[in-house]
Amino acid sequence: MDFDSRLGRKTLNKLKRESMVWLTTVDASGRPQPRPVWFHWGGQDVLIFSPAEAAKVRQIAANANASIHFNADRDGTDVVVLLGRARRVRRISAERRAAYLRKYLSNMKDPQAFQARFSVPILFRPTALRGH
Amino acid sequence: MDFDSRLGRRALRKLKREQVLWLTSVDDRGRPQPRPVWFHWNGEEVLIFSQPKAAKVRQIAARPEVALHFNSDAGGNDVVVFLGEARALRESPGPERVKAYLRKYRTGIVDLEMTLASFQAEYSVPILVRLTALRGF
Repeated sequence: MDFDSRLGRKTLNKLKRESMVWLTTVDASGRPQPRPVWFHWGGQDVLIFSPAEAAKVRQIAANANASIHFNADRDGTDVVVLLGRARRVRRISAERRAAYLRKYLSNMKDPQAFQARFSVPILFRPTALRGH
Repeated sequence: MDFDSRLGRRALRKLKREQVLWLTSVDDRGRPQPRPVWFHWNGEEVLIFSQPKAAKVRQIAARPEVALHFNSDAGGNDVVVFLGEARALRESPGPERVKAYLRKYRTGIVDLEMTLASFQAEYSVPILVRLTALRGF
């Protein structure tokens, strides 16, 4: 991914600062399925945690193609869409997990319970960028 | 579509009031492709206009299953997602319907430095989305 363009810099800013992103996967019937998720940007990929039984886990196992986009502003400008591939990973480094938890600490009543429920790490690697 | 639930009423309000929604179609490589669009809701279907060569026209011709959603709030709450079936029309959706759409975006079209006529000439393909499911919280 090249973040050197103006759009790229804007994207990088959002990846570092925004608190949620829309993750869209494709289900077994070929329907796109968007939902908002918490995320952490590690410089190369986007880390998401999911409950093991969630639809997104099944969907990316069957079709790794996914996209990520931020809310636009009210009139539909400030658009950033990343296309890429999402995969479930077995484990994630302690540093990365800590960085994610730090980001959302104030939103979590119980970080232990959160980690027990959102036990599946997913990494989304962007391959293309669109927006304006 | 049942709009009687609490989520349904909220979804209906957004269909009537919001300026923009995200239309996601799937491309021929199986990748989800989201983009924000202008739309008009008439109580039955969502009307969108597209440039004829836009990717979404090709994508929905091959795969009509789409998702529509509104921006959430900054914290990721206030989420309304529809699944639906999209189809491009060969003919106009009708003068009343077109007029209602153009009325909604009169200012937006001016902001694009377009006239009603040039906008209609460029965004010439009407797409109707029939909503089939609602999710959100």
